[in-house]
Amino acid sequence: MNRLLIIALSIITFLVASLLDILNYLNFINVLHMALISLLVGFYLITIIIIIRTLKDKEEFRELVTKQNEYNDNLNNFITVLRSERHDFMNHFTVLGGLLSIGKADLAGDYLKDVLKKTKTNTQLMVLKQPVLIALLNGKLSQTENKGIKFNFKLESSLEYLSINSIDITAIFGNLIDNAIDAASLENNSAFILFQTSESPSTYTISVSNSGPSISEEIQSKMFSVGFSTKGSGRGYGLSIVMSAVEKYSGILALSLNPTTFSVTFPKIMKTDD
Amino acid sequence: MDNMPVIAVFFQSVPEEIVLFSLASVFLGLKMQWKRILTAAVISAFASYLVRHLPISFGFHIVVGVIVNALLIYYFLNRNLFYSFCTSIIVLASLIIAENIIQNPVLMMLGYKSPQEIWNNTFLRVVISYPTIIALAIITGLLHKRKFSLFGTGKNKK
Repeated sequence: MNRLLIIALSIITFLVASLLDILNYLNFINVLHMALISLLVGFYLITIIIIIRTLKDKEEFRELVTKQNEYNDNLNNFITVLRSERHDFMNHFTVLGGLLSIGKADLAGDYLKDVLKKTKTNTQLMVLKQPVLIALLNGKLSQTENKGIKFNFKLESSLEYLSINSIDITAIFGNLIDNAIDAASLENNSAFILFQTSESPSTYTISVSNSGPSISEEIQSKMFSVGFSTKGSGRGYGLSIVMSAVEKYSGILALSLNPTTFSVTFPKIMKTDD
Repeated sequence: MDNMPVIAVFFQSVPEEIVLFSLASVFLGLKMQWKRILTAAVISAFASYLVRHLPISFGFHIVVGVIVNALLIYYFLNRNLFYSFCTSIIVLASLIIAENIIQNPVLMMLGYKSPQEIWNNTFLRVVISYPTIIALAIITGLLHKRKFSLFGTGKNKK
């Protein structure tokens, strides 16, 4: 709908400007009157520009709201998982205590291993000091499980001092992981996504890799453009939103191939008490 | 038919197109890629020169200009075709409006009644276009400095 409005407004502007040029050429109106009419058309053009900008903002806002809703769902799911695990732990302790009291230490050991295996991923994510990111990753984890994609983590940094607001975390990593899921889904065998965090004394680097097909040079040159997508019309905002959000925090977005990896590097900003 | 001299292409059309492609970059929320802007501007200026020499009725060259500029924006600035067309239309409309607002009163002050009267005077034809080019360049610079974009992501993004 917005696109239709934008093109309609652009075409009307074009017709008005062309008419102005033709009238000027035909010397139909004297030059001073022409200048005054053009001034009015100039105001009209500024209005059109403001309207188009507003429509674009609305489009972006809608995209962000969708992502934020997704994030809220992820957070709720995550809380539910944590609650159920906490509830289950009481039962697990009861079982373990019972097994140990009757001297079945081996059985208790096996049971404990099973319990830990089941909760492994969530506890792995707890290394991160970014609750929003944990919730987002947890939500994406269940998505990848449903699609048969293995979601691996290599979390070498807790990202403790990463100062990015929740909307931008969702915008950056939500889009990067969504793209990785789409790409990995194209792979039939051993599809995987790898989420890595690392840090240097001055930076944090977060990477999202996937087992999907490589990205051609032609697509690389256009993929950060607004509206460019390989997934059909009405798409193509993801990477440009990621790029904008990354630049907002003076970060760098880099792409490497084999496997396709998007790495985001942010400067480390230490919080002080002053 | 406007028999635009070649010298006007270099001193009028090329600077004009450089400003137009810079404005297009601003509207698209891109960083200034001067080599690409310059290449696109030169191609567009010569395309416009050729079109003006074709035996077509006045007005049609604007349509051709929009299409050529849209394709050049798409190719050199790596953008989506839809936004390339919209940007091309708005940028060209800005030029036409700015020309009419600035150039016409200057012409009148010099004692001319229509722009066609100076078409045969190459020097005047080139010189009179500069106030418009400078005004558009200033507007482009200000918008760029304020990080305004029409089709980029967010108002403050580049």
